[in-house]
Amino acid sequence: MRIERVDLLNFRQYFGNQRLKFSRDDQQNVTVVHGVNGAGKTSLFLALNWCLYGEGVENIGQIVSKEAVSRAPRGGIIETKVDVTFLHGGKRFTVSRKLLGQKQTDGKVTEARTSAEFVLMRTSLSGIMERVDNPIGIMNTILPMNVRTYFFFDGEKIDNFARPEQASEVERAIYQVLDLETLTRAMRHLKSAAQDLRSQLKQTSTGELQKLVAEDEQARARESQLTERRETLKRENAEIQRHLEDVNKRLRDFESVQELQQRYDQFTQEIVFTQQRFEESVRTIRTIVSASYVRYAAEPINAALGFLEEKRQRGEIPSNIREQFIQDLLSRQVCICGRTFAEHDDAYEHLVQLLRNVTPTSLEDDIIETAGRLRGLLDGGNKQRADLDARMADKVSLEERIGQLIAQRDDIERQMRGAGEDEVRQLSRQRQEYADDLDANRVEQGRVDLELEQTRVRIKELERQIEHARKSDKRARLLARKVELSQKAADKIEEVYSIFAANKRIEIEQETRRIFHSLAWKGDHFQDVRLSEDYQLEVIDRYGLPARPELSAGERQVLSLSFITAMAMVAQREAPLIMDTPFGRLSSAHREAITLKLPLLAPQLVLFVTDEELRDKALENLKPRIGAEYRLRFDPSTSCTTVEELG
Amino acid sequence: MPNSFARSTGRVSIEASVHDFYKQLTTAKNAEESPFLTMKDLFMLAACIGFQMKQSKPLGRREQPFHYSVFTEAEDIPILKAIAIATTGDVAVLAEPERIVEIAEQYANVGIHALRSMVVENVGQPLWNLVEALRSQGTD
Repeated sequence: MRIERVDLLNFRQYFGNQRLKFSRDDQQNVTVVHGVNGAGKTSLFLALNWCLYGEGVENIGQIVSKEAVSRAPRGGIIETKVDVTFLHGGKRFTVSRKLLGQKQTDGKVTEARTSAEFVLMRTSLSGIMERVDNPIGIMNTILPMNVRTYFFFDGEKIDNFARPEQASEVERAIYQVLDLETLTRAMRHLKSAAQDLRSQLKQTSTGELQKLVAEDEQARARESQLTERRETLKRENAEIQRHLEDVNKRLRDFESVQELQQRYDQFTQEIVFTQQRFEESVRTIRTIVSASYVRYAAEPINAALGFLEEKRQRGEIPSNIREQFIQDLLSRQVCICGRTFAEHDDAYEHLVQLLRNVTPTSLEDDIIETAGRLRGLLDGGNKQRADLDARMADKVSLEERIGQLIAQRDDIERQMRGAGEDEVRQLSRQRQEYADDLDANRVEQGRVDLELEQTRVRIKELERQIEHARKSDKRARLLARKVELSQKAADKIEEVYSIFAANKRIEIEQETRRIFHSLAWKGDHFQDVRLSEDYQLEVIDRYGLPARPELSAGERQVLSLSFITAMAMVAQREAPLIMDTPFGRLSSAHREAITLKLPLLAPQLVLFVTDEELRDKALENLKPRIGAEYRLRFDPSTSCTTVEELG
Repeated sequence: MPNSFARSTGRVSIEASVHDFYKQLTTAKNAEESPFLTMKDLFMLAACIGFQMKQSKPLGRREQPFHYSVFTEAEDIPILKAIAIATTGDVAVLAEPERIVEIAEQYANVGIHALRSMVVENVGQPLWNLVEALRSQGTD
């Protein structure tokens, strides 16, 4: 960026149009603006900052020229504008910031500063001006706002960087100028992302899957154990049955108990048969019970039927007249008696009213059908109850019958033992034992069946849970990977950052040292300039000790200036150095050294100076480099400054 | 009448916490332990009991164990409609199968707990406990 021209309109003491052209010559790259204290150097400096960045005018009172206000009529609009035209990357840009003030009845002016209009125009190579859509963004790529303080600086604050308490200021300056901000932001975001992901990961329970899989294994092992046991019990049952059959067969061969055995067999058959009937009866009862809600529904059925009956009595349903019928009459406009009627007469309105109260046909059908079915269900419920009573009576009598049959068979068993020989008795006892075994076996079978059923239900449940856990496990692994990645990326950026910052610190240090040596008067006394790792800007004296406490105000200023210009160099931004009263606090010796070297440090140098700070040898040093020179003339009678070109 | 329930792809909801109980009373091999042939039958009874108690409760976390299409046209649908009419006092509800089922779901959501204490929290087997309850229901 090289500034070509500044145009002021009614900016503070610059009444009307004022123009300055800055030298853009490579050799004569210095523009000097002279002005006594209060002539308007600082206003000009502010005008540049305001125009380019909209800043620096927060605490300076009214921007609009007082002279312009006094000349304006009450209620009149006064325009304040600063245009800066500069060259950058082979293109010409004009930045324009405009503010409108309105003169009030009391003579004061209102400024709507926040609504100041900001326009950036670009002149193409063919000379056509075009408006740039994103002026703030473009300005930021040319010379970022946070960097410009190192190019446009205020001489009064110039020694800031060389104060010991300003290490953080130095550090911040380096960050900003070197775009380290982007890296720190990336680092911060990645670290907080890693943090978020970590807490998400914590919530995603891990280890649950292993537990479930282990339980699943156990459950499946138990299932196969139980299945095996069931098979064993079945085989044993069959075995026992065979033994029983065998015993019965052998008993039939004994003449002494043949008849008893026959009766025993009959009872056994009947017991089995009755048990089957009992089971059937239980199933029938279940069927009735399962549908028992029909009987429980009597209450809502009665309530609904009562409600519908009321509606019917009121004539709302089923309406005597059907919807379609009324609609037909309305469209034909002829009554069934042959009388005609017309829209909006009494007959017509009556029909419309009827139609409104009629329930829609589809709904009416539904109501009629539902009501019919409900009435049927009331009967059904009663029948169900009678049915259940009868079946329960059956069931009870079957139970009793089984009891009786077993008792009778036991009685026969006893008779057989009494009547027969030893072998018969032994066989009978054996049969009893087998029967007991069979019973015990069936009990265990029931137990095994129940556990098997529960185990299988659990296995199904586990399958679902494992599926679910697999998914969340996958999520957890993904999360862990994300945590790892974001942490690694943050660490890497931190590494790059510290290497880059360290390198740049050294580069700035070298540059500062070089510039300081070329500017400083006591070149021999000061051995070295150091920018320490904790960003302390230090001058080392010939004894190798930090000399800062002994530095004069002027020396501190030179150190700052060296640092600032070093920054400008390292930042690799082509921008002018614009300095407001830079030499005020320097000794003449320093001034002489600086004026000799300063023009070499920047492509364009603009100095706002008082006559006191730039005279004699210093002015002489600068002379061959000056390409443009102005004087700010302040007229106390009008409080206005005019810009006068010199030479 | 076209059966709008059969055509619906809707599923009946119950609260997830009672799903196991529904399963327990419908799937055991022994009829005396599982008195209901289907979850639908159990649901219908629970809804009627809830209606009788005049208590309904919106569902929390839900399961949807069966389709509308299992409701029978001769019994279940008229009963569900009766419950809906008696609850809303408006025949217009008949045109909204989802609303009819929702009303029943909310009654069943209360009725199922009463049924549970009736059936499994008594000493006997569920079938006989239920028979007892049914028969005492008839006498009052």
